[in-house]
Amino acid sequence: MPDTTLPAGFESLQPFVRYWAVPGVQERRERREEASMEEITEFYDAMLEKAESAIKLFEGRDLGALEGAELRLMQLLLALAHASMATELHRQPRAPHTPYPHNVRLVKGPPLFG
Amino acid sequence: MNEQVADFRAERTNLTELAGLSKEPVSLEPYRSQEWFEREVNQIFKRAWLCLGREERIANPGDFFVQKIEVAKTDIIVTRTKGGHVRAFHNVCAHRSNKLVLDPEGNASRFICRYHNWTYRNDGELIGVPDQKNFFDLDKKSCGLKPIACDMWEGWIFINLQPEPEVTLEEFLGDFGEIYKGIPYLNADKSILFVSRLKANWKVIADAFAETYHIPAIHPETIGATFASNENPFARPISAQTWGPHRSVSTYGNPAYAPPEKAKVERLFYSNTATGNVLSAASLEDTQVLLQHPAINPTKSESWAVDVTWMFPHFQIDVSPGGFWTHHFWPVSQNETLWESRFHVPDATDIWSRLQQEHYIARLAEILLEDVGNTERTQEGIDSGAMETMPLQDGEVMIRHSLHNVRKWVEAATVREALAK
Ligand code: FES
Ligand SMILES: [Fe+2]
Repeated sequence: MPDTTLPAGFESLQPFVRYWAVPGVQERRERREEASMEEITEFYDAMLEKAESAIKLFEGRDLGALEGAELRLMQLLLALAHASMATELHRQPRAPHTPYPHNVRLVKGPPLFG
Repeated sequence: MNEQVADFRAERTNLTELAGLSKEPVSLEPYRSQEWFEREVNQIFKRAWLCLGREERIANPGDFFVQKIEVAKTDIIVTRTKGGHVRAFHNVCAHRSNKLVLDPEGNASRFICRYHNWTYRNDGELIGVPDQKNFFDLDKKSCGLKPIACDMWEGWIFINLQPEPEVTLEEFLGDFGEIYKGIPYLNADKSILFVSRLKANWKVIADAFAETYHIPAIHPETIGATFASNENPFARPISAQTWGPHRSVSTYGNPAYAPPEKAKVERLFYSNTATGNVLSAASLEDTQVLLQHPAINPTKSESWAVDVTWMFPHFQIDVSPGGFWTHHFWPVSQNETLWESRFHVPDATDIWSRLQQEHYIARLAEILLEDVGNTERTQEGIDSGAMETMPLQDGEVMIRHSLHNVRKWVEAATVREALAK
């Protein structure tokens, strides 16, 4: 069983780790594209509630040194940006009238969590 | 150059007229004719100077990347020599023409062919031939890598596939090359890259990034509200300019844009004003030089968003207050294109700037998919033959100017003739 634990205080987010805590931007984007609106909304609501305390945890920290439970929380927080594309912009999982599947890919992301 | 200032509030802007272009509907044949495509390859892609990207990609001696130009059946090694010069060579071994470099990029002072171990220095010279004595008076000097014409302008790498280019890069760029000198390219050494192979003519894809008329319709949620406003509901451009075969439009941005109430994550991720917008994380000094540069936001409009600059034939540079990005539209066949888009973004190492960056890239991916996801449908429509021509409005002036110059190059016997007024 892969380790899905999160830092203390973020236990409620544990059910989302397996699907949403992935290493790169393109992977987080694909997770959102493949999810149903119901799954996205569920994650969005839960993560948004904890977002500010997660940000507090990472303020002033060397993000490149995060690992384990903290790294997973960071990846979840980053995935919130992608979930918000569906909930705040499109009101559906993917942009209206765009093809899916498609091969428009981010092949090189930023150095950290890219 | 002709300065083209229009008032987007007027009944109709006058960019097309100022560019000296016809206002008639334009033919769709250049987007679907196989014969025309072959002429484009020979007359344009094998004769024009082609921009390959920033020199920061190969910042150090020995750095190299390989650029494939499929329509010309050409693979190019672009490398920086010990002396710091950027050189380009055919990626072909002089022995029996095997492909020399197999990695897409890297650092190497010498290249060894995998077939029989011939070895070249990265300035092209052949320096090692196993069992040389068994050849017949082999002259190593004349068996170096075959060079490709390569020149630099403002840190941009250009190549030309003519064995002896008819015109210099300077002549090819003309007034454009003068006017766009001295622009700071923020974060030129850092980029993220989007790529797609699309079943559409290269011009269909380039056109998709050449006008803002489509923004309220195709990007209603992603950027509609940032490029249009009550004052400019159809996102008309602020101005347009042309220089020989090159062109630029300055686009309108809604100065009053703020994330709506419901955009909770966007608001949260951008709420730390101390760090500012990830797009504006450039140094204040560079931003000042950019904003004061006469070629950038040429009317110095308060409502400026992005300058879209389209260098003939297949390359666009977009400059915004906080950074720049590029598009390459590499033709593969008459209805297939390799599109590459590089966005230059700063390193985001603290939590606030990294979250902004994630939101920025996530939204970017949506916008780009809205843009290029539509192009294959357009190509299908063009290929159906239902329409002979397309009417273009004034805001689509760059498309008209592109087609005008594509035709000129296709028909011109010499490059100088193609560049003539
Ligand atoms: S083909 Fe390259 S060494 Fe023979
Ligand atoms: Fe667009």
